[in-house]
Amino acid sequence: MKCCVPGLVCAALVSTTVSGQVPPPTFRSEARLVTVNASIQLGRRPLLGLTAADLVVLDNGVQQTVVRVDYATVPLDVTVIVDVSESSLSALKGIERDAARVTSFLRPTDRLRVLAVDTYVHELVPMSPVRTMTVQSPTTIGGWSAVHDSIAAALLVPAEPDCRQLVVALTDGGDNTSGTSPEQLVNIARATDSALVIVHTRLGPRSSGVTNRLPYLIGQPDLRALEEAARVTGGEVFRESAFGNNRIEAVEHVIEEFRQSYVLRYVTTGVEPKGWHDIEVRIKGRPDASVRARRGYFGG
Amino acid sequence: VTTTLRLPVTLVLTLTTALALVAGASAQRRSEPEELLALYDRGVYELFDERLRAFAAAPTSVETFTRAADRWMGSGFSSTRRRLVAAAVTVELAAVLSNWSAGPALMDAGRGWLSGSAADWARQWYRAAIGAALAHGDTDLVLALRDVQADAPRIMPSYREYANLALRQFPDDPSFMLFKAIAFELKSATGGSAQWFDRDAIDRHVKSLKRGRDGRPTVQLPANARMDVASAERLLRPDMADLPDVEFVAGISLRLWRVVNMFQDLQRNRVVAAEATLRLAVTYERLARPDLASLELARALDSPASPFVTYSVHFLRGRTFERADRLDDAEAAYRKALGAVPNAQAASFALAPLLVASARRLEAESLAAGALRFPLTPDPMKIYGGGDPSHMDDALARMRQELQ
Repeated sequence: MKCCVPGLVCAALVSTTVSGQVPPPTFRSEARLVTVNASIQLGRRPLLGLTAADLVVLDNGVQQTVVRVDYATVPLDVTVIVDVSESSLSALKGIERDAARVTSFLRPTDRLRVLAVDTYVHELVPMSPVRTMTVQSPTTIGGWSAVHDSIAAALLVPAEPDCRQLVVALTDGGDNTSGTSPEQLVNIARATDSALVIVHTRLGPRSSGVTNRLPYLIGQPDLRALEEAARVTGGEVFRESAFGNNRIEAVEHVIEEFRQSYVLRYVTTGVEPKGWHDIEVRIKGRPDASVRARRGYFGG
Repeated sequence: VTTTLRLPVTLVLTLTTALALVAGASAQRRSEPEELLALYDRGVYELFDERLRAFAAAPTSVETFTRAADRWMGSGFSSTRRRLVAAAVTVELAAVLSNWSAGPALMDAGRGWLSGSAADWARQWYRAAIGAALAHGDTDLVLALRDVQADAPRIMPSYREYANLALRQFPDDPSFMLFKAIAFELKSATGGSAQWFDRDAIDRHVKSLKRGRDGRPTVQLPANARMDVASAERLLRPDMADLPDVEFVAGISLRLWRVVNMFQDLQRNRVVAAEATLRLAVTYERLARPDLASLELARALDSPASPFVTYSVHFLRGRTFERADRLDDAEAAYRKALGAVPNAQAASFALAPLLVASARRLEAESLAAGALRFPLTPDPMKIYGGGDPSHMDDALARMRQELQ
């Protein structure tokens, strides 16, 4: 069973009546294993040493039992998306160098995938262990921007058992040639176990008249869909300028912060399996702790 | 002939060997462009295509190429054939240039070598050349075709000359007509969403604008307002001249309606009807008339259509269905698009979210993986502005065929 996809665990019949009380809602439900990445911090520092007993997880408002908590030890599958819509082929060398530097932040058990996005989405480095990384070079680079498609492509990968997925997109947010609409991008983000982090880069120069050639237009950079997509996965949006416009530092920060987040697993109980499930994570007795976790999932 | 037959066999063999050695030595000295010309001449197209792509990826010096071509043409037995080969290779090279800046001069050189070609061969050369210009977004060249736009921007004289020559020689060629219409479409297109203003709405705005002229509050005519021809012409009357921006806004609609007329004319020609209908639908979208766009999309495939057109029509129909929340129809349309051009990214990534939403994630994952498979499939929606490449491909193929 894949660790990160809510999977069928068992069929449970919840039918409880307590004498003298109004019976709670009854569901003939399929219990699912749900995985939640949760970044838990006190101020700017991660709150360490928490166990299942410290955590309260609500699924559609119903408290769940956390069956497992992992911290920092779970291997990562990292996808880095690089927007090259304003670049030329010479930029590929830089991307290869940067990819090699990113591997230095990763552990031998982690894996890395690199997507470049211009008019098309190019898989430069397929998901592979950091030691066996190979680069596929496209013959052309530059043009328009299909950022939404690239994020959809990154989120639509099969999850591997016992690993966590992180997608880091380095982009100015401009999109004028994606098949994935902004609304659908958010819907895909809702249905993923990956965490999406956007590193908002400076706006690249736009060729005049470029958008005029396309029959369907999304237009000017619009970060709203990207922000919403990141938010529902429990990710966030950083500005590249916060890292002195150093993309590699930004990626390093994102990976380190993600590694320091918790992985909570619970088997759903007492909730209707289908439809959208809101997830809420709290820390018992620590109202001062801030939690950033995925907002929910689709139950199919 | 008699003399040749009487030559001793040994002498013939010696001469043949000597010629082969000379040819071999000259082949060793051949420059890259000469090598390309020779490969094309011998019909070794697989190797030619491979070398051509590599050559086109590097910065191209037109001067180097033409000097090499002149040398190569001068060293052959049949200079007429070599001139045609050189002309063909220039347009083959122009079609795959990674940087179009060398394109115009390159094709000018090619045109110079066209003389002596059969009419149909020249027609294919022009089809390929103008198709290549359009594919690279050089609408100025295509718009320079005679009778398209009186106020077309001034461009290189030789450029205009050769574009016009094509039309003078082949005035009824549907490809040229279509290229012209596409170039005008691209020049007239606007980005972002459009908003339809009927005559009453225009009336209200005119009244409001006139009140504003008298110093009272006014409501600006939005830049994305689209209107019918009568309304646009009304706004262009002299008595409206001092109203802010109306000339600009009305002008956009008038140009788009002119594009509509061009594509409507082309719909009567079966060869290009399908692509003309697709582009007519897109123009209606730009005029904020999705109702008319849907009608055209529904009948675009009544005429024979290339995969480019079939894909685009189904993709755009999928978009329309999706907007109307007809998700099953949208899914079917995106699947038909992918039936025409498998693994194309726009339709793959439009379909994948629909699959995810209906609990078919595995299929969505497989679709996404297919769309990323190397090398990528050119997506008609992403090269819409460049026209259907099959026009150019077909012309290039016919030139090869004729020369063999």
